[in-house]
Amino acid sequence: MIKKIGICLMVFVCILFVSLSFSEENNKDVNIKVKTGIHGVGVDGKTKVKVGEYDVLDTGVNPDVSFSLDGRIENTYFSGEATYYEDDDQQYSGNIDMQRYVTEEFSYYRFYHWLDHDPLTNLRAAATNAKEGGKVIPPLVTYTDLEPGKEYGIMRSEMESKTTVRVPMDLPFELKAFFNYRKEMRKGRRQALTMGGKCSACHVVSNGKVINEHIEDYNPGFIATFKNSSVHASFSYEFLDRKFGEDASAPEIYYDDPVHPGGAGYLFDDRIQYQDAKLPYNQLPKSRKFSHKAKLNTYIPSMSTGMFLGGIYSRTENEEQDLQFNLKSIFSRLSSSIIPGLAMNVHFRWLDLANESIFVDTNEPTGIAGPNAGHTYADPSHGGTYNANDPDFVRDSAMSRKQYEVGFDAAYLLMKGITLRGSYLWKQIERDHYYLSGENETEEHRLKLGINARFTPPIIKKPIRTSLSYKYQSIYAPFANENAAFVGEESTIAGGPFNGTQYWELQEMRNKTLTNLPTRRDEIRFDTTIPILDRLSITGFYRFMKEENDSVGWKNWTHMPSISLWYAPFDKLNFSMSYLYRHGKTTNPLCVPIYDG
Amino acid sequence: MEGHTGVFNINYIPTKKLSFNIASAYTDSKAHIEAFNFAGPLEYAPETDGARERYYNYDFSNVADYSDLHIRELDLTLSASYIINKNFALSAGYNYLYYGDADPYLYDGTGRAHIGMLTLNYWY
Repeated sequence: MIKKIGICLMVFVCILFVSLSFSEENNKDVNIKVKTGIHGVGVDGKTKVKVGEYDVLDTGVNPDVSFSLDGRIENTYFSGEATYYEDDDQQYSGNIDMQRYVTEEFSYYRFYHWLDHDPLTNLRAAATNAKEGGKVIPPLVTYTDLEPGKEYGIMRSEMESKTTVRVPMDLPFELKAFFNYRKEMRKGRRQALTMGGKCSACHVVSNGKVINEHIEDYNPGFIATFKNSSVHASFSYEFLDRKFGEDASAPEIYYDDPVHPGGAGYLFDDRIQYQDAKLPYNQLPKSRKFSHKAKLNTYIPSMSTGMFLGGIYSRTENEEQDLQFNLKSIFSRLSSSIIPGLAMNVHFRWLDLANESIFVDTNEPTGIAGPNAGHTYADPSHGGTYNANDPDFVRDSAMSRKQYEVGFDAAYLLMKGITLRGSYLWKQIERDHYYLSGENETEEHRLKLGINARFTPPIIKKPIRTSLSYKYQSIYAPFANENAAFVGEESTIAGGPFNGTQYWELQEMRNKTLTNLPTRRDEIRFDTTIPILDRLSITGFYRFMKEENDSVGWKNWTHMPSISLWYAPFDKLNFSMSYLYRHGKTTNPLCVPIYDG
Repeated sequence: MEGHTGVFNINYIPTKKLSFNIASAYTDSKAHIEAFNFAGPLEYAPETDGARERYYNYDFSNVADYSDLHIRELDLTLSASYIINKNFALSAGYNYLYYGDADPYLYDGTGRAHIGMLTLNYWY
């Protein structure tokens, strides 16, 4: 503590002497501000997670210091800011421009984020009642918290440097090369959940996971700019090498041995992937991403028309599973205001996203008891009637898709102070491995109309600003989970080797495609600012949004009005107030997993 | 889901050297899931004569209670600043943070934090 106070005072004194030396040189082109002080913190409550989610809240008295400076020394311009509040709450930034040939921007910040610790007692909200005279049914879910009451949090920090060099050569165009570097770190501990139970009640287990993640970006590139009276053009290219790594080990728990809940013994060993072993979970693989991005921007002043063309190619590798994820995209936009009073934009986008498929070779343990003892689940020599499928499979990715988008938007100055706005967008998504009900294409239409007005009414005699807009979206075949659940009263036909309805029969009965994405969306927005007096103004805002998907019975709507007021009754006194109200409702089918575990 | 948020800010500068500020943000929000019933499926119970029946019923009566949330949050700051001379100023401030769990969910997360600040400012 005394050391921290000493450091803060020393920084304050150093900056004081630096500014005095500038004063002695009569250099008035440097401005310096420095603040040093102390702050005391007291916390009253069982936990500080909710009170100060992004505050360190170290109780006691601690020093803090901050400074900012900006100025010029001959042809070099510089500026900088620094704030030290706590060890885990600091930020620094600096810029320097050396005769416009070399510019450097640097920033660093660090803060702490408290995370919640779910006690899992909400799992008791779901239970069962045994039928009259029937068996006692076990609870749907049990849980174990291996770190009860532990506080979780992550310290986040990021350092970024951007260096730009203007190439000092006599070329017909201006050429700049840049090199950007960024490193983001996350260190701490958070809650990690997994399920350790089988066949009987779901057994949710909570443990702590150490976080030690880093992301490192190397981003070089160049920008070439040409400008004359006929055309303005710029071309840029940049390369990105991004590495992600998690240096902490994954948590481990013991996965229970599968036991028949009715006391019939170890019948399920032949089909359970993780059993009777301590195994890691919640693992994050190391990954690396390479991307190339090129942009061409042109503008013809005589036609008030410009064109933008850009392309991206990126490849992301999972370095632990030798899997790749490729993305290719082209975007172009034509902008023109050649017609007086009318500004138009037309754009086109194409995207191809390919996520590699992977063959999943499942564990195939041998049964140790029951009618399948001595055999694996898919052993054809057993001749069982229920184990007819091979558990190995190819995991195709639902992310793999091609996307096309065409859009148009315009703004028209109807008369002085009134602008009409309108836009239309068409988007189509084709999935390589469709997961929709017989459809592999999602098609969306989006329409937006709006008006901005600035007028002076006779009574107030001051300009009022108002805007009103309506947005409509229609989506055909949104992304959904085909045969996600069973809806109905029918059940399977009696029979089979065990009598009674079996869990895999319930799985096969699933008949309903479910999604939480809408097929229709409507949104209205309105805002206005009224300067009633020179010293009094009011701003009103309203937003209504409604989404629905009738095929699954899903609806979501929100009202959000707000009002703000600013008033300065005297030169020495001013105040502002605002009130926001939000009311919303979501209606959704409930899906209950019959097969628990 | 329903929420109310109020924000206000007052600046008072009685003299050229002295200024005061009060700033506050208050939020009161509620959310819940309405009560519902969901019968278990008709199934063929083992060792029966083939008749279908509801082997068990789900009991979701606790869901409406568990999902009933009511949270209040307040962030209040009082500060004052006095300019000593053309290079120095002194500032003092107090920040009160409150999180109230009016209808505790799984545990009561209510808490308060008090932060006092005293700062010497220098500029050139």
